[in-house]
Amino acid sequence: MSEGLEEFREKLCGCEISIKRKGKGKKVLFLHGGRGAPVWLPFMEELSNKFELYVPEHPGYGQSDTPEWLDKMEDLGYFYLELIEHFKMQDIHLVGSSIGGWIAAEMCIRNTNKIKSLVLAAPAGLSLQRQYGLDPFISTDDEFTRNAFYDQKLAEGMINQEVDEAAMDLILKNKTTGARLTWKPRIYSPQMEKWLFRIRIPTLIISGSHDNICPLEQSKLFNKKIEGSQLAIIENCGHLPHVEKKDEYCDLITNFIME
Amino acid sequence: MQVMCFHLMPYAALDLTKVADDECLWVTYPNSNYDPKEGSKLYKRYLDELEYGAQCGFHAIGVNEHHQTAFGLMPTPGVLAGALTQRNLGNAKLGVIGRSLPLLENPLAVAEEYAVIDNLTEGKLIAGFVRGIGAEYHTSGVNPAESLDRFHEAHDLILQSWTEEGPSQFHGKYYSHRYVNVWPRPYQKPHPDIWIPSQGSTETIMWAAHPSRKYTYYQTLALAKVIDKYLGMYKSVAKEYGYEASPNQLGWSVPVYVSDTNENAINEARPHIEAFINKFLKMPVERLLPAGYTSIASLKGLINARKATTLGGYQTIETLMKNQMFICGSPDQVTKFFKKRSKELGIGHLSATMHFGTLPHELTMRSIELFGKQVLPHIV
Repeated sequence: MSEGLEEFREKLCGCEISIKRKGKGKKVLFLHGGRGAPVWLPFMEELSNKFELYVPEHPGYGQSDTPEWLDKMEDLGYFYLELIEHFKMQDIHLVGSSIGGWIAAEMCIRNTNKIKSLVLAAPAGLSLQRQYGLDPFISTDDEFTRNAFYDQKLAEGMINQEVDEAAMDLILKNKTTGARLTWKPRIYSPQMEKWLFRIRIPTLIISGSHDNICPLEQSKLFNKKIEGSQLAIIENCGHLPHVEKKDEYCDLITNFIME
Repeated sequence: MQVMCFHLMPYAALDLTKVADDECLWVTYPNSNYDPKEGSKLYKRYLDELEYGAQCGFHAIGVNEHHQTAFGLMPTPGVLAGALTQRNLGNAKLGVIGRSLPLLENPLAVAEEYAVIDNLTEGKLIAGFVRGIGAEYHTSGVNPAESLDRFHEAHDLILQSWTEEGPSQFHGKYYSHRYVNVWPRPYQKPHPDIWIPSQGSTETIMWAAHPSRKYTYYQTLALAKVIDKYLGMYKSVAKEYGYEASPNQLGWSVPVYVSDTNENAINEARPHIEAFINKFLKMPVERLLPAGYTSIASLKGLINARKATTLGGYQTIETLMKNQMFICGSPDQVTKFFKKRSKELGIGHLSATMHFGTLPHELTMRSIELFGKQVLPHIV
């Protein structure tokens, strides 16, 4: 375990969630993607060297509770706005990955009073996904993993990892919540696109050049709809730039927040 | 025991030599492989087979619902049930077992459809309600995570429409109707018999066995020990509710083939039952049991129960017979088996799937006749 890493539980909105926190400096709230955030990853360590990094597990994911009220992605948007109030946080830098990006966008179209900047990395949530992205619900775990990476050696490494029963239970839990939130419409909100113009804080969109899960076209649409946003494309990279191109990903985020 | 002649109406004209081992005939198998000229012949043939079942003494005939698959060509079973009402069925009941309620945006459509069939048959409808297997959630787009709640809500709405004088109102989380006032009303009072076929689910059993319902629970194709487990669970759940489950509440569905001798039966059935299990029924877990379809605990249980059937390796007729997933033999052999097994299970209903996979018409008709005339009289 990383030195100085805190893991604690917090209850709000009738739901107890698990949060990891480390580092000093500007506050960064990282919202994970559909596969959860069960472990402290190298990119988190790197960001926590520069910032005070918060990594919660969403309601319904990992070690967090699954509340009755959880129906749609916008519920998680409201939940995290509430979490910011709960911790009396100010000047948050929000970083969302995949469906975490979708949650972050749901938050920011509603209220950015406490949010200083926004990073959407391989964000989900717009209807272009439906046309171009892999269907994670019908594909096997191995197919999904192969499609998530540009570098197939990384994919094979991931596929060949042993998974014990406890980890398998968490994977099933995350998938179950993922289905609950995104099965229909298939991983997008028909409502969100028309309100994206309300995001008026500095916004960076990061996309892998070869993202088969949340395709580059979708990031381009976020870029188009959020006025003044920047789009950074990481070459030879799939859906998980924080894993596949960690250094580039961390540099992009660090430079953006430090600006 | 009441015995139903049940049909899945598969697309038996499929050229199975063109179906790769890892190919799945559900959800994404291209419909360019369907030839309407063959299909229209099959529909007529299958309706003949079910009519013949009624004429050979089966107490009921039955159809069901599946979508976007060569496994079964009955996406709208009410249409086929409607066609059957115009055949010569004698006193046989007509089962639609069943409609997948959660897939519907307006469950009153099923309340209406069933009421029409019940009127056409002067009260011989058996009304089946099912969740629908996982593949149906891919084809319909309905969220499997909402399936159980939608099932309960749709059921409550349909029952209200049948039993309360209209117009009434219904307001749930998924279904909201300002006006519930179904025409026609069902012929049977207070409503048609309700059956709940299931591949095995604790949630469904708890619900079906509830004293306010006491519905007939139908265990579909599974290993003998899985059949024991879930029918046993129904009985013990009933006990916990404070009553003894009657045989009328317990059913079992299994493919059956009868020929003049045991040896002939096995030889004749082999390619067709093996095609049924290994080709038509085979599907990966993501299609059979998508995320959200059940609780995580049930999901793990079902995956284990299914490993030996649709998720495992190639199944020979010998293995299937050993596991009692296929009952096959001479009239004498099949009679002996069902006499013993139905007593063990305490079932009051048997649904015999008399056609499976690619079984040809002549063999199907002869098997229906042998079962109806030489087995059925001895096992009721």
